[in-house]
Amino acid sequence: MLENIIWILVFIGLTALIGVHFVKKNPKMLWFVISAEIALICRIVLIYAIYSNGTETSGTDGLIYHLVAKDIAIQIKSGVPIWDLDYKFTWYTVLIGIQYAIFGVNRYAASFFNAFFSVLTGFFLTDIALNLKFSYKKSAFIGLAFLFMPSMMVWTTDTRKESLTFLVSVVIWHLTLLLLKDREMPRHKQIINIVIICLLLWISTLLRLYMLVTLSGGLLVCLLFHYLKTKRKFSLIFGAIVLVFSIIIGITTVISNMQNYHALPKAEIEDAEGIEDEVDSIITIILSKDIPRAINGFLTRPHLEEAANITDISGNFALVALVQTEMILWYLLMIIAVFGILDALLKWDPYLLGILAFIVSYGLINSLLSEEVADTYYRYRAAIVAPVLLFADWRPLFNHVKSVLSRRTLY
Amino acid sequence: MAVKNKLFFLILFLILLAVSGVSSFALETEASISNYDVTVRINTDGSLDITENIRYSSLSGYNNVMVLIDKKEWEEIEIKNVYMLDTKGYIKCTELSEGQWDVNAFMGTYSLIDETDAIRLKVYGRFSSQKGTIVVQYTVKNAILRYNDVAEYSRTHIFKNQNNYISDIDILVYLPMESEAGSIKPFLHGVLLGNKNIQENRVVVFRADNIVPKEYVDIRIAFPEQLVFNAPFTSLQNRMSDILEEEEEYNLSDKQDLVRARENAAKEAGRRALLEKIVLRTKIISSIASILATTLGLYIFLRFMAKIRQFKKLPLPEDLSQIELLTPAEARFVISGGRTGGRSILASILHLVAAGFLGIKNGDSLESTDVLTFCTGSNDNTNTALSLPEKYVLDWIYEIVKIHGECNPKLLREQVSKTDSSKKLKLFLDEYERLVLREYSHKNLLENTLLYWRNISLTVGMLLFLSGCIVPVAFSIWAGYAMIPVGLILVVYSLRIHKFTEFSSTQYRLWKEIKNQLLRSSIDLSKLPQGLNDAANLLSYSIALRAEKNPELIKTILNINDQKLPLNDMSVKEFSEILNQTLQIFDKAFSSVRDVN
Repeated sequence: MLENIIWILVFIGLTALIGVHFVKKNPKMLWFVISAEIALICRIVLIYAIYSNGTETSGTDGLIYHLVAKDIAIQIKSGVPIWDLDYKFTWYTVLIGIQYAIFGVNRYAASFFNAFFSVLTGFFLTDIALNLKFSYKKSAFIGLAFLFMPSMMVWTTDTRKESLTFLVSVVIWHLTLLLLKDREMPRHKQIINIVIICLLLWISTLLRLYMLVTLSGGLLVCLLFHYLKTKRKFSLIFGAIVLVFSIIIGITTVISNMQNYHALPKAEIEDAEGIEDEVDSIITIILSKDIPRAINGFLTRPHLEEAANITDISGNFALVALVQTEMILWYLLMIIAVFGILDALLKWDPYLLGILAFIVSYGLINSLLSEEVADTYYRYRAAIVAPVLLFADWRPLFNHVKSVLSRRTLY
Repeated sequence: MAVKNKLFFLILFLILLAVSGVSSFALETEASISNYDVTVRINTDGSLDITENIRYSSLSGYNNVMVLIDKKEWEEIEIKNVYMLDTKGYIKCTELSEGQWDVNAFMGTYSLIDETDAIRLKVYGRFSSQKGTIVVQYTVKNAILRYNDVAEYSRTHIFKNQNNYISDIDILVYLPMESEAGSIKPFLHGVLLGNKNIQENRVVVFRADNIVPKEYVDIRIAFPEQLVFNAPFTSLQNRMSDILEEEEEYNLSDKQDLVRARENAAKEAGRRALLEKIVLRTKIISSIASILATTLGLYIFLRFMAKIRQFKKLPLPEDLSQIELLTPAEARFVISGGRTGGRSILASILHLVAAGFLGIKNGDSLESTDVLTFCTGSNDNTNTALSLPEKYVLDWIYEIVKIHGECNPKLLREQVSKTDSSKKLKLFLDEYERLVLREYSHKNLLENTLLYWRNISLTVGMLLFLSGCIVPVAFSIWAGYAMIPVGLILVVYSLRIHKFTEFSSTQYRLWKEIKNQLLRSSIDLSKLPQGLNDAANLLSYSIALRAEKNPELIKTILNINDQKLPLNDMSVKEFSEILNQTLQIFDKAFSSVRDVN
C-alpha cells in the first residue's frame, strides 16, 4: 500500500511539473492543468475499483499482459538480455516486464504508468490544438474530452497497451507539427526529433503491427501535401527519411512479427508457411466481410441497445447508461467532425489531411480485420478519438459558406 | 445562444436520433449450430466414451467457441481429444496449461473450467461460418447408475442456458451389447419436437430437427443392468418403477417452459424477420435515395458546367492594343486560376517601378549583384490611383526601405527562416491575396443565373458530402459513398467559380492570347495592349504571365530605352539569370510560409 501511495504521489507530482511547464507557455491554461490532475486522480480511483477483486484475476487482455510480464521479469532477473527476451503477444509486455524487474511485480504501478501516459497524451493533444492556432477554449475542450471520456478512462487504466499506443501516436503528430512550424529549430534538434519520430514509429509497430501503415502513411500524406503547398525541401527530406525507415521497419519488424500477430485471429500451429499464409488469411478475412457493415460496426458499435450486452458492464444500469451517453456524444462528435473534415479538405491543410489519412487508414484496417464484436470495436476505435477531436468544429466551414452564399461578389 | 445555433443543434439532434434509431435496427449475428452429432458408447464398467461433433453455421466472434459438458458430482471426466477444422483439415488442439502465455496460447488450444454442474470447454482458434467445426472426445467414468433391476443413463447434452439455435441434433447411444428392444426404455426431455428409436436392439437414437434458446436436450435410458456387469452397484434397490413414475409425471406436465421457449423463439423470429424487412427496406430506400442524390448532384454539376462552357465561346476583340488592362497581379490571378504568391508580388513591384513609385537600386551596376534590389522611386504622388494590392505592396516596400535602406529580396530568405518573421510574411501574403481577390471580384460580379447555380451547387455539394459521410455508415450501404466525391467536386467548383464567369472566361482567353504573343520568337509591340510598351511594364506583365523565360522577350525589353529600368548593356543571359534568381527567392519565400498559422 505504501509503495502504491509513493507511486501515486510521484505521478501526481510529475503531472504537476508538466503542468507548470505547460502553464508557463500558456498562462491561460491553469484550469486545464488542474482538470488534468483531476483526470489522473479519477483514473487512480478507477484502478482501485477494477482491481478490487485482486490483480491476479481481474481483466482479460490486461490480465494476460500482466501475467506475461511477470514471466519476462523472471527472465530479466535470470540474466537474459532485453533483446533476447522471449515475449508474447505484444512488445508492451516487455515494457511492463522491465518495470516489474526493476521495481518489483506490481500491477497497480503498471496501471499508474498507463494513467500518467494518458494524461500526458491529453497535454500533447491540447498542445497540438494550440499549435494549430485553435482558441484556448477549443484546445482545452479537445484535451479534456479526451481525458474525461469514460471509455478512454477504462482502456487507459488497465494494463493494456492502449495508453502507450495513444501516447506514441500523439507524440509523433506533435513532433511533426513542431518540425513543420518551428522554422528556427536548430539542425541538430531537427535531426533528433526526426530520429525520435522514427523510433516511435518502430515502437508503435511493435505495439500494433498495422500502426506502421497508418502512422507512416498519414505522415507521408502530410509531408507530401506540405511539400506541394510550400515547396520546402525540408518536408521532402523528412518524408524520404520516414519512407526509408518505414520500409526498414516493414522488412525487419512487420514480416518477422506477423506470425505472432495477436489482433489477427489465426491458428497456425502446424505447417506454418509464413508470410504468404498470413496474407492469404488476411485476404480471406477481408473477403468474408460485408464491408459497409464492418465500417458501420467500427464507427458506431456498441449500438445503444447493445451497451447492456457488454460483458464487463452487463447488469450495471449506471455504467450501461454511461456507455449509451458516451455513444450518443461520439455520434455527435463524428457528425460535427464531418464539417471539420470538409473544411480541412477545402483549405488543403497538409497537417490535418495527414491526420485524416491516419484516421481513414486506421479505421479501414480495423473495420476489415478486427473481430465483429461490439466490445472489440469499442476498444480499437479509441485510438482515433483524439485525432477526430481535432476536426470537431463546424463553425469555420459554416462561416465560410455563409459568407460566400450571402454575397454577389466573389470576395 | 443565438437562434441559428439552436436550430443547428436541433437539426443535429434529429440526425443523431435518426442515425441511432437506424443502428438499433441493425441485426447482429446470432450464434447458431447447423449440426450437433453426438455418439455415446456405454462400456460394461459403466463409463462412457463420447464424441461430440459440432458445426457452427454462424458465430458472433471468431476467436473461440464454447461447449458445456454435463458433469455429475460422482463422475470423472477426462478430455481425450479436441479437434478444430482449419484450412488444411482437422487440427488437434492442445490444452492451455496454467500460466501458459506463449505465442500459441490462443491458436488451436482449449481451456477447461470446472463449474458446479458442468465443465465449460472453450476452444480457441480461427473460426468462421465455413470453418466453425469442432470435435470433442471425452470419457466419463461412473456415468451409469446401476440398480438392482435396471441401469440408468441420464445426461444433459444441450443445456437450457445455451443461447443457440441448433438444427439437426443426432444423438446415438450404443449400449455395451444387444438386448431385447422391450427392455430398453429411452426418454427424451427438453424438446417439444423430437423423436427416439431403438436400432439393432442396441443403438438408441435421439433426433430433433431443431431447438431454440431455453430448450434443452436431456436424455435418459433405462436398460438391463446386466449390460454393465463390470460397473459397481449404485444401490441395490429397485429403480425402474420410480423412473417410470418420474417419466409419467414429465409426460403429464404442461411443459410450460418449453411452450414459452417456442413462443419466445417464434416472437423473436418474428421480430427478427420484421427487423430484417425494415433493415432491408431502409437499405433499399437509402441506396435509392443515395443514387438519386448522386444523380442530382451530377445533373447540377453538368448544368453548371454547361452554363460555364458557353462563356468560352464568346469572341475575342481583334485589336488587343485598345483593351482595358488588368493589373499584373490580377492578370496572374486570371491566368493561373486564382493563384498569386511570390510571382504576383514581384510583378506588382515591377509595376510600381514602371509607375515610378519604386526604383531599381544599383541599376548602373546590376551585373555586380545577382538579384534585383528595389528602392524608393521618383514618383511620390500618393494621390495617384493605385490598386489596393499595389498600394499595400508599396507600403510594405517603403517599410523595408526605411529599415534597411533598400529592399533586397535576399532579406526574405532570412525572414522565412525565423518563426516570427515568417508569421509576418504570411500575414502580408494573406492580406495581399485578399486584396487581389477583392479588387478582381468587384470587376467580376456574378450574373443572376450563375449566382443561382453557384448557390445551388454549393448547398447541394455540402449536403451531398455530409450525407455521403453519414448515410453509408449509418445504413451500411455502398451506394451512399458515391455522394462524397460528387459533393466534394460540387463544393470545390462552386467555390472556384470566379474562374468560370463571363468576365473571367474572357479575361483568361485575352491574357492567354497576350501570353502567346509574348512567347513568340518575334514580338510585335504594336499588337500588344498600349500599357505594355515600356520595358518595366512589359517585364512586370511577362512575369505575371510566366513568359519571362522567352529570350526574345528579354531581348525586346533590353532594347527598349526605359529610364525606369536601367539595364545598360546587360546581355540577355545575364539579365535572365538575375531575373530568375529574384523570382526564385520571391517564389520560395512566399510558398514556404503558406503553412504558417
